Amino acid sequence: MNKPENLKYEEMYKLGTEPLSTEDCVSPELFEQERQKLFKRAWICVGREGDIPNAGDHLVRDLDVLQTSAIVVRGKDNQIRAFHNVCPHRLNKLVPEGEGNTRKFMCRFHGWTFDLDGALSHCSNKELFTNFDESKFSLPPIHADLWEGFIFINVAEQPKENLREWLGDLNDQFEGYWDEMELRGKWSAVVNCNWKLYVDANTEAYHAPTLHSRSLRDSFASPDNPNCAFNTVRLFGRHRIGSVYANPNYQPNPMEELTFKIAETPLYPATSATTGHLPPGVNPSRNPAWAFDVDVVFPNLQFGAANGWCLVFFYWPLSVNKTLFEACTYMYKPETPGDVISQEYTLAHVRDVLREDMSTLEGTQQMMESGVLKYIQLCDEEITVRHNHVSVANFIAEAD
Amino acid sequence: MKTAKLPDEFSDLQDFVSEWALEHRADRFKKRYTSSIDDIRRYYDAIMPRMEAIVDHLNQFPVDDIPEASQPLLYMSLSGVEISRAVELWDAPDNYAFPAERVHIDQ
Ligand code: FES
Ligand SMILES: [Fe+2]
Repeated sequence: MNKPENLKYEEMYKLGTEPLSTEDCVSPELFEQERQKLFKRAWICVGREGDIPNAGDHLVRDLDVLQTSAIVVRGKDNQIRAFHNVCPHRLNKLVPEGEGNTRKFMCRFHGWTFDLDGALSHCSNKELFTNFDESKFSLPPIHADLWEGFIFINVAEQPKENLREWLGDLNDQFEGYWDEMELRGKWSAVVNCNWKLYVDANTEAYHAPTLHSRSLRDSFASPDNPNCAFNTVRLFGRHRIGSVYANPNYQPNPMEELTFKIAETPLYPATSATTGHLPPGVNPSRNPAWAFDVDVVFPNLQFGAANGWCLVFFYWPLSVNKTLFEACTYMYKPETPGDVISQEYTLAHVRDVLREDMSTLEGTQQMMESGVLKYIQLCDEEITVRHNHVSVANFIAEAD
Repeated sequence: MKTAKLPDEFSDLQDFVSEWALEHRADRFKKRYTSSIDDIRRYYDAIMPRMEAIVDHLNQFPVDDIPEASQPLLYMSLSGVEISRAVELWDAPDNYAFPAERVHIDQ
């Protein structure tokens, strides 16, 4: 079954066939709605548990889209908690952005000090405050929960759904998938485009034979599947898994071939994938002619899940037409120096292929903003793009 | 900075050490896109036929305990991986893509 399932996604998922308006990529008003009604009510991934392995380890993220700065910290009881990064005294920002380890958080303005669970533990000259009740001056909490080692936060006062409910049927799709992997590379860039445009470009495969013709040659296309049709696209409510075809007869270029030969851990592309040990959500159709999957955990977390390595993308909206993109690559621990060298090929190659995807974004945003044309046209294979925009619009509509 | 001396069997690559034995990924990336394709090709022609021998040499050692004298070989082969696509795929120091200098290599 080297051929894709050749499903009619439009019939399966009934998301419509009409052209999509560009408004949600260019309108500052709609962006503000996304901020208030989507992002501030959504479970947002801010990192992995392994980023803060020890008690007192914390990361601080300034999240423009949530209009706050968040502290995520592992407590002495091993619990991961999140707080707004603000001192309740005169609202100084408590911790500068970055990562670190601490026993307590001390505000550098007047020295109020907080335990890792957010409780105020010290304040000098308490008696000078009228009716001082220290139990009222804990750090303002943010809901936090874990899934498969990912840390999610939700800034809503009372989230409508807990994280399990938010993920729905996606919950069991990746069980244990990341357990043995570690962060092997990370890069980032600020790109002048709407965050959804960026997700679109990274979650359809129709462009691969054209846009990536020089870098990927025919690795994603063959006479069987000339347009790189998905092996399958599965929608899980607001989330999605698209499984990308790979040409099983692809002939690697010389350095690529060498790195495949010397690798002890699986590498890109995974055309010879043995998929028996993968969880159900990775290569869901179990097609051996498979490169990787493009998965979106709604709204702004993406996986590029492959056999033995995985990309994790964070899309951080900065404004209607500006996005901070962070690309992390998780891989197995290299067993030999040869492994390090072969992993480097995957890391470098994937980065530069992604830079090809990025090359379209600012031009598209510019022309969308020109307003000359106000609609985009989508084919059946671009169901992932349609699902992206429709899911955001539906969520906002239902939020009212 | 003093240039490290490679193990004898790799003395043919000695001239490339100072330019291409780069420990950090960000430096290897930048070295590629700021080099001329002729310089890249010269390095590729030298390193490519020696890659397997380098890997055999390095694989004698545990991955986290490569002796100091052999470390430049690891960095040089990682540079070889980085520049290989310029020669094999693009015939240019960089692909047609989002500007390399706007990409920040965090790790
Ligand atoms: S603002 Fe933090 S102690 Fe005063
Ligand atoms: Fe692409």
